[in-house]
Amino acid sequence: MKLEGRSLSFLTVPLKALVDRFAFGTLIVASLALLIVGRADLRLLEAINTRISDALAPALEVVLRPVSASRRLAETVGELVALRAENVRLREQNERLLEWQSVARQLALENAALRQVLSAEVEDEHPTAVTARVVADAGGPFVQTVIVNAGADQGVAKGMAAVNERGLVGRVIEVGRRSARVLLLTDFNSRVPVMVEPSRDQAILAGDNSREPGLVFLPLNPRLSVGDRVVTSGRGGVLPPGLAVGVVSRIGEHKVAVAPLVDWDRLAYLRLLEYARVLPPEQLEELQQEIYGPPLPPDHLASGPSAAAPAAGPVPAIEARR
Amino acid sequence: MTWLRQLDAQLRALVPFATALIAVLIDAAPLVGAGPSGLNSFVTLCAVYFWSLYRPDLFTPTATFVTGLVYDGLAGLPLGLSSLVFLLVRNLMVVQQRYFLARSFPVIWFCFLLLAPAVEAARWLLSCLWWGHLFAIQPALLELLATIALYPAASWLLGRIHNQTPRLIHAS
Repeated sequence: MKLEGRSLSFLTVPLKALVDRFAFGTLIVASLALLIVGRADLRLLEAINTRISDALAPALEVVLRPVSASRRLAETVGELVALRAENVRLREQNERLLEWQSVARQLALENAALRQVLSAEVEDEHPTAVTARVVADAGGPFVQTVIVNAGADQGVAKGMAAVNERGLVGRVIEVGRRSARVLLLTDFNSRVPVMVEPSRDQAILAGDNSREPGLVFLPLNPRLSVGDRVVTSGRGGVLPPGLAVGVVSRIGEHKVAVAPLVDWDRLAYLRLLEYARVLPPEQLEELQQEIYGPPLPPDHLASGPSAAAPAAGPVPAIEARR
Repeated sequence: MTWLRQLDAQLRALVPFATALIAVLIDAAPLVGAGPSGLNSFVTLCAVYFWSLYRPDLFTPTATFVTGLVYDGLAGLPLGLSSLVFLLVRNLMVVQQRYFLARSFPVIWFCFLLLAPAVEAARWLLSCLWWGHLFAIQPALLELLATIALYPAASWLLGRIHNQTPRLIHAS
């Protein structure tokens, strides 16, 4: 028996080492294959990432609970210490904001009157929004994205603008059932069509993983100065126009830097804006065909009102949600 | 009651993998700021290093691979990047286990101090190659410093868990 036991251990130890080595080799090859396949098929990569984020979103919320509680406690203690100074600051700010409120009301009335005179189309200025909590800020030094705890079940869709009380934070790039990934303005893949407010110069705000993304594709001889506000232009139809983005912070020879208005240290909740954009005519036609079927020949239209019923009559305005 | 003991032993055998997954969640949680001002740490590397050194029998190559896969999926990194790096770390630790096991904590921390920059450099290089973009080194360096500074605390915590893990497995 003793001999049998010894001979078994002689067998199992090298066998286990062999299996271990085989598994190591196989999994190294699998990792490399995943890297190559992921590069070739970004959609597959996105789908797997979304599945993993979706599965772990509830666990992330649990991990965040004690952190949020301790942060709230620290903030409360800090607020109590600075209560008096904060009160004075808020009173001053309140007075200033009341002045701005009266100016804004006046301008809104004037704006409405002028629009009426011009019969201008007014876009929906109050898009519906989904509020979501930031549950993960993963990616390390390479990717600047956050995961929020709302997904397709809550009405989140790809391309939605993510804003907080200060302004634009980024846009939704991946949507799962109960989580979504938001690409931040500062990520090197982020490109946002913007407009510099006083001059109305159009440009693209390009992230470079630094705190201050830069303006590219500026017009010739742009009229810029430090402190100019930058807002979304709405070009390309992905993001709604007029969302506050940041201020021009530096005008260098190689880079016009924009400091985003967002306070990255307090990125707790985001509003994901549902933006209904009007499609260009060619895409509108495609969408109409998808809904109503292919256009009917003219002789068929003439044969009777019942046959042509789906295609006849004024076509309702079609908007696509991104 | 034998089956209960067996179940207990099996669950305890999953502890290294479970703690590695918790480390992934801690790395993903927005603890200090977010985005460009967020201070990132790489606690998962501490867990992979620790378990590869002390319990490679429980922290199997498959567990290492899945840990990396979950890390990449959550971080939005190319799938396979962290799996590859973690598997190489595990293999290195297994090969050098005899040298490490007899050493005191400062020596093990010193070795982590040598290994972590190599891991960070490999991640940086693979990311640059995958995206075709030259990433700044500074954020990676900051992450590296935070990870090295966090290792003693992570190691202490994992050590306490480790002390609990094998006892009942052997008892079963």
